[in-house]
Amino acid sequence: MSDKDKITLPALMEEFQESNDFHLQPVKIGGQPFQLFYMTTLADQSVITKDILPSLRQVLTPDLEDIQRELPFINTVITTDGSVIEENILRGYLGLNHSGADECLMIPAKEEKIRDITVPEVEFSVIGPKQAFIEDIQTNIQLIRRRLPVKELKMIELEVGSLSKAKVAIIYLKDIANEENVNTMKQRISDIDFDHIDDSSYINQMIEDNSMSPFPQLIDTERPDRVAASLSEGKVAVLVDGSPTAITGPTTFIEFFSAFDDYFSSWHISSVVRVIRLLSVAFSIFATAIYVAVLTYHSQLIPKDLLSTLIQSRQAIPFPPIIEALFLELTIELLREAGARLPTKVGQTIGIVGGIVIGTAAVEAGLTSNVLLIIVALSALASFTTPIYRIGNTIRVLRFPFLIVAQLWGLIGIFIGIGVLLVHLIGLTSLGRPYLEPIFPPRVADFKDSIIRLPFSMQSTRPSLMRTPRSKRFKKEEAEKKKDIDE
Amino acid sequence: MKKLMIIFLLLTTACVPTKIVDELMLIHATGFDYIDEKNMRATISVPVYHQGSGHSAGEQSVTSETITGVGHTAKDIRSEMDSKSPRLIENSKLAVVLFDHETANNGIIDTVDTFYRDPTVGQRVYLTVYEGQTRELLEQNLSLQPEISRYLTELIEQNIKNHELPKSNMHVFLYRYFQKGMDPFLPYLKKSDGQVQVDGLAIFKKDKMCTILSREDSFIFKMLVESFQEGTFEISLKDEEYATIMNLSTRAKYSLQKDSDSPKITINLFTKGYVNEYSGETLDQKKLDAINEILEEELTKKISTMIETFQELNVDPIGLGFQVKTRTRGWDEKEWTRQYPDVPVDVNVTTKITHGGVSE
Repeated sequence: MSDKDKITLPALMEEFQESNDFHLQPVKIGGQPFQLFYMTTLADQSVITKDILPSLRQVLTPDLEDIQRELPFINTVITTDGSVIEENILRGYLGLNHSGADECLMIPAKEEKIRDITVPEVEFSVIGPKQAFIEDIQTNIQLIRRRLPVKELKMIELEVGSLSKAKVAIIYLKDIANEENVNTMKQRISDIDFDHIDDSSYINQMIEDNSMSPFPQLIDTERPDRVAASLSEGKVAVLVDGSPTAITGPTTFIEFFSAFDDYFSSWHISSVVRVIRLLSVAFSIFATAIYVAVLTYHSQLIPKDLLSTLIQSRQAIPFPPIIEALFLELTIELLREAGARLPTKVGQTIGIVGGIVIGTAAVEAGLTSNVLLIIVALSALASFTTPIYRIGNTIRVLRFPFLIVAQLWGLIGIFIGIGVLLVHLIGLTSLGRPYLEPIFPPRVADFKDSIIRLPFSMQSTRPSLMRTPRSKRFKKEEAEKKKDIDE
Repeated sequence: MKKLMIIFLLLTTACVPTKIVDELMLIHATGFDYIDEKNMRATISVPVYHQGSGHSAGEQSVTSETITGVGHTAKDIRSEMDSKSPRLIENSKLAVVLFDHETANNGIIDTVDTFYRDPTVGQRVYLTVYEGQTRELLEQNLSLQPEISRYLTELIEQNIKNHELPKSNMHVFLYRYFQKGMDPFLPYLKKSDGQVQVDGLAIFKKDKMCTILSREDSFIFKMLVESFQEGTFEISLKDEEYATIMNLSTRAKYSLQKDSDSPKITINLFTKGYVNEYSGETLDQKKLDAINEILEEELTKKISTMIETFQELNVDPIGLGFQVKTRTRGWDEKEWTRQYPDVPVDVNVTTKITHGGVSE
């Protein structure tokens, strides 16, 4: 920065004074005129009146360094740099200088208005910890550090957004996370050129490997325990100030369907639940499409016993299956959208109106068949089983292209759709790591925590996807030797 | 741009004509009747769904209607039927094809071939021979199951699974038809007291029916062509006593001796079961041994007679020729056909009665 661009204190003051919440207060210290300036909306007034002003009165020498020593504050800075003063004032610091002088003492007096740590709402779990991130990055980092009290936990702080100046923290465990992943993450975040970052999801979308894909390629979670577990697996986490969700990566497609609950219940149960979840996702995408394809083209595939049920339920319906299916699918989407936009109490009413009134009425009016109503309702329900909210949305949207190809070419169309989908998924990467691992490329060892979850005693290595320098989580042989359970 | 072009091309291609299931006339059963040498009459049975009281009515609200047509070939008849049908006739749910006695006698392969070539028709369609006019049968609404095709499929299915019918459908028929050294067979149905009954097995020479096995014989026949678990067999002992063998499991093994020019076939049949019903007084080990012996004798006798009959008719539904073929290098079909009536067949039956049932 050249001298010309340097912001001088008087010019800065002048600019600040254009805003009415800027306050300038003359004080006398050691008989000399000083001025105290701050933003009233950012600085904590009680700190000023209770702590700063009384302390200032006790200072006898009109010297900034003496004042700094006398004040009961840490993190105070003495600077002449205009840009530092500007930044600090906008973060809730107080400025103190000798009237007319350039040197300025910055005293932190930020008013902290943060909400309490609450129960996770998106990723709620019945058992296990019930803490969710909040909007304050300090608190969020604290939540993670408490779960990983090791010096290897490192943090890189960056600032993103020319207007929002959002504080972004990249968190990883040194020697466990692959340096390459950390560097990729760092590189991608510092490359972001955008004015206003509101939430971590902005960053998530901007640093994804393929932003044209409907599939999210990084996990966003509101659970500190999930982030801590991810870090210990060798993943990299990103926290953004002002956002209650953290981003972790690299990740795989399957991981989007593993709820953090799965680690809290016994491995048999969570394996079964995971398989059910994956099946329900497949059901959600394909059920209506298969219904349309079979009813429109492949009557030979309908089992003999089901035929009369299907035909009878469809006999009075004036539409072809595709119109019927689109109508119902859109109805469900409408209900979901209306429910999401409305306050909780009204939302419940919408559920009843939609589910019972519209559903039953549509069947009775002969607009849809009750068989399809069951299929659509089930597949909507199935799409809500995904633990990560974003992938659930992807799955719901994916249904529509499949419906269309089912109408165009029947089951052949569905299989073309599956082909295109698979090609797309195989091509996807997450921070440069294959998205469909361990299915492709096949990594048998990584199946231990993907479609199924094996017991912790068998989870002795970190996922090979992370390419971690320390792949052993614990020494299996020793653990077995030490295990002393009386028989 | 390239991707966009592909999407554009895909969207502008002509769509496949749709066949929406409730806008079709789905044939559930077809029957063929003989009229004269050139003409035959086909009857199709289509389900009629009644929009009744809905939920509670369930199965009862489906009955069947028939459409008939007369012509030289199946395609010819189809066009006549199309002219009588309000909706597009579709073969895709065909479950049973019936032939009357006369049609079966005159050869059925031309008709079977049209179904076999239709990709919408499943290979598991049941082909059957019915003793009377198939049209009359298909027009009926029988009390046990008002939808006739469903009645017939369930009837055949049940009898194949649990009773004396050997596995039989279009695939099996065509396999046995095209396989060298084998002749096909089909279930034979008849009407009895307002119900349809499986009355044995129609044996075909190539595609023409040549003889009919009774129900009891078809059980013995089933023993020779496939192994099964849950058979029931009744034998009569001396002094007007009867015993029923339950849970009869059988396994047939064929072996071939090629000492001379003409081959000699040995059939080893192993059966196992227990006596479930016995009309005599006490059932001790001695009696069981006796039953065992009688059973062995009776089965041996019946199998030998059956094979003799087949040899006289020069028909080979058991597939003895196939057994020889798989064991002979350079098997010649013509020579075998010449040899077949005089080939000596040894039958060895080994039975084992495990126990005399459970009683108090």
